Amino acid sequence: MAELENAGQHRYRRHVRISTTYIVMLSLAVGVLVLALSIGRFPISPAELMSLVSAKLFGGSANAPENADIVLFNIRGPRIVAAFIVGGALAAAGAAYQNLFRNPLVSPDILGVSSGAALGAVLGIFLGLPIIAIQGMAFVGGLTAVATIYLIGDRIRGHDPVLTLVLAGIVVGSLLGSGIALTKYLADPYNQLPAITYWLLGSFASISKSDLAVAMPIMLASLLPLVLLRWRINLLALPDDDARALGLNVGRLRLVVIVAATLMTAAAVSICGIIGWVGLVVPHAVRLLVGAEFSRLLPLAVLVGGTFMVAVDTIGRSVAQIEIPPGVLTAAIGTPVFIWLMAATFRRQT
Amino acid sequence: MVRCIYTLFAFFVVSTSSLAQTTLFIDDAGRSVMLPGKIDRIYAAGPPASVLIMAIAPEKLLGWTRGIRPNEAAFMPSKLAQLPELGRLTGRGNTANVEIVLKAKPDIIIDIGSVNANFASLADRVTQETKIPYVLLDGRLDTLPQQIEKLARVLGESKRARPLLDYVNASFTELKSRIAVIPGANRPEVFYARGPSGLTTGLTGSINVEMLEFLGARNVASAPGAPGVGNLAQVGFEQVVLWNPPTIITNDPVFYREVWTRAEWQPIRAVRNKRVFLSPNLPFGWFDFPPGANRLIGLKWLANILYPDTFKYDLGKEVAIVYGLLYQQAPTPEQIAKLLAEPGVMPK
Amino acid sequence: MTQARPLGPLTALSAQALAIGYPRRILAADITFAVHHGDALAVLGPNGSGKTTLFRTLLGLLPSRAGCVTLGSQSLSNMLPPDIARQIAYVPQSTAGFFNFSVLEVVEMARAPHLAWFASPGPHDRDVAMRALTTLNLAAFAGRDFAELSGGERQLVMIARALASEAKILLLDEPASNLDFGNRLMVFDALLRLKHDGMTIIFTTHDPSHAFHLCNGANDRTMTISRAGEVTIGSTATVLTKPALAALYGVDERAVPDYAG
Repeated sequence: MAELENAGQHRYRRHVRISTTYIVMLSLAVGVLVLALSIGRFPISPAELMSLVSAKLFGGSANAPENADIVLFNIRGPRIVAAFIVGGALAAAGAAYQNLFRNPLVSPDILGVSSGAALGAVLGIFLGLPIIAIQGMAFVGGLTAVATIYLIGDRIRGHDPVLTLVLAGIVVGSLLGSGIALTKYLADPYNQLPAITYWLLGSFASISKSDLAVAMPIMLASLLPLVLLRWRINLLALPDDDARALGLNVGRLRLVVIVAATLMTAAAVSICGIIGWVGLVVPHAVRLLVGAEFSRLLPLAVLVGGTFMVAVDTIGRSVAQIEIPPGVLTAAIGTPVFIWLMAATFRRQT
Repeated sequence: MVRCIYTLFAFFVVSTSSLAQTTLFIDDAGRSVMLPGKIDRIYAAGPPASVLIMAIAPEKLLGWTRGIRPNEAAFMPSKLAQLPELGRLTGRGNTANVEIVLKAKPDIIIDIGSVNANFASLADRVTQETKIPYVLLDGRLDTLPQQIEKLARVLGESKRARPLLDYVNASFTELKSRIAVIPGANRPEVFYARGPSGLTTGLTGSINVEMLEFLGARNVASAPGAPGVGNLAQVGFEQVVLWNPPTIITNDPVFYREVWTRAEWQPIRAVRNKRVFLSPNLPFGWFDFPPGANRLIGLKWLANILYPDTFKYDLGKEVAIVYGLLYQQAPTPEQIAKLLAEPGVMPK
Repeated sequence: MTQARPLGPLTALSAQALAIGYPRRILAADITFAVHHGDALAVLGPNGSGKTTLFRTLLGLLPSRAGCVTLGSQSLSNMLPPDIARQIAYVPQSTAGFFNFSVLEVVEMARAPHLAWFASPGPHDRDVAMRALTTLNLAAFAGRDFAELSGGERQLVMIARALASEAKILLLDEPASNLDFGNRLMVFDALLRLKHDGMTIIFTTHDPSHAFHLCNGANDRTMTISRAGEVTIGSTATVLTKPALAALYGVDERAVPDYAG
């Protein structure tokens, strides 16, 4: 009897910890978003911010300096939205892939989507194409890379289909990497090469409303399958035979997850370049907090990933005249936080 | 008597050295270079060196680091345009492909650009491996007269370089003296937009915005010493709106096309007043790259744009003169007209 | 030596002239047997003889090379995987490397064949899972991290998971091979109880004593598969004689202990 009581207490404590995490993260997200709206190189005071927002919602003129409305609604606003969605998408894709590959050390890039997108964009810059073409080539490049890797993995049906995918991803990814290196070598060192370097560093600086109008629907649409299948995705963590014995069509579910994760990652990379770390570490951190169960993990990963990215981008675009690449900040800020989280979790477990 | 012997001895040494036909030259990196008596084959280690050698001793140029494209070839004699593409000498990470040099068999290697210890040691290494003398000259814009003079001396072409040197000296003097009297408050602010998104810029003090500083303009991106890719840095839209530059210069045609339609750029003064300018780049760029003597015409072009009340150069005439001096071929009136008629070159 | 049982409404699982193996390699052929509800069937054989292949074929994970398998009254080849999963549950050998799922979450995974594509387990599914855990005295572990459990406890959770699918046939692949003595007793005790409650138990083992322990009823059977692919099915005592075991595992007859005593 006492055993059952103990168990009940254990479950209750776990339940409380999970709910608390949700509430804390939700409030943090709201706080960060509001803060992000009020911070930037262009000074907008909280009063001016309120005035601008109410003027937008209810009409009338705002009590704010000239150009403040363009800055808020055409520059800062879209950028914050983009950062949130990209952060959330990368975290979601990372969480799904970690489940699919049964490995917490997996990031959304494992199937080459970032390398493919990078090659596409780098070629676009090399050929002097307009911005929308560069983004389009990045998107197509990402999809093509993953499709190629998936087909290779599918043809070479080894004992372990997951391992085959990973190996194909590594090999094709390095081939794409050498393509990028070759293009950099051939590029005009004065003009194209810096542009390529900056694109590869990743940045939200050049996000515009029109970029968002195309990328956001794609990312949301590709998030939908993951949301609908969130409980079934748990089963991918089982060995293939186990999952199939439970009646699951493993190959088909795996394909759906790969397609969804690839679409959202390719869309993200095409508008902001390569930003690493979030897709790898955020799902891991959230898993430490609330466990691996995917229907619980997914929404929280999206929330944490999006909030973290907005926070990082806000810092990167405000502390100096020049921008600090988000890839640098995600690692710099995230690493100590993650180490603290690991320590706290392992202390709890022992 | 002893004095007599010493004098005889010194005379003997001097005359033998001139018989051996080498001269000692101290280049801009402080390196002592033994120049050969006769220089007929010159390897230019980069575009700035190529441009200047083309101007002073074109028949001795062995080739280009990057081949001449057809639209660039239209502005120079075909013999020059068809010179082979030899490839870069210094690659990324300070590697020098000495095979390229050995294949070309030059009498001397000329490099105009940065003269810091890194490049100096690279030059030393190349000389060590190939036994070919390597001269490094400072490529900064305001040392252009010195570059011409020194290079002419090294190549023994001081007479041929005279017209170019005179023109450069005269232009520099005119530009500097007339700008010096313009009060600080009237110095124009400029934003240099790079890359297709226009959000990369050159920080104050970097080689990319030398021309702005030469002309006394204020680069809005004045964060000196800030980290960036070779003193380039990325900025966000908000920062550009905050600066609200009255003039924007770019050499990216993609950016120039898109700046008029992208919503984020519309609040900027330069866009509203149609003061966004696209630097011509045939046969070589007029602003920023390559960072060589080709920028000479760019100075006059930019002076017209930045100080319309002070400078009213007849660009058609100036282009004809400068191109003739630098590229050994006076452009036809049609070529000049086409160059100046490109969108973004002339103020509206 | 085959003793065919008459097929009837009580038949849970049967095979007729079944050949198992891979496209280029048949491991064993002409396997015919019938298992009724509440029976137990033990499968013994040296490594590589095809025990796991047999299981995978019976679960529908591997196509049969000849013959057919019947589940209840339906032919296996006509059934969809979720239908198969509702009738026959698989308890795998190794239980390594889960992420930090809770025990309850692991057991709930077995509800998959009962749930629609986009559905998540509801209160009813949770009840079924908890009941499965309670049956095996594991209710106290429900909220614990699966990875923190001992080997024996994890194996029991796997059995609970199989129960949660509400299948009536359990297929266990070497259910006690990596366990210590105490855990082994725990597992086989649980299996005996389940068998008395009417579950059909089919399992592989390397230990003849397990077969004697679990398959000692009049209707229980033991099957051996030799390395050459010979299949023998019969009552445990008749099949697992000393000479038979010696031949099966390639050991001296005198070294084989006396199990039947």
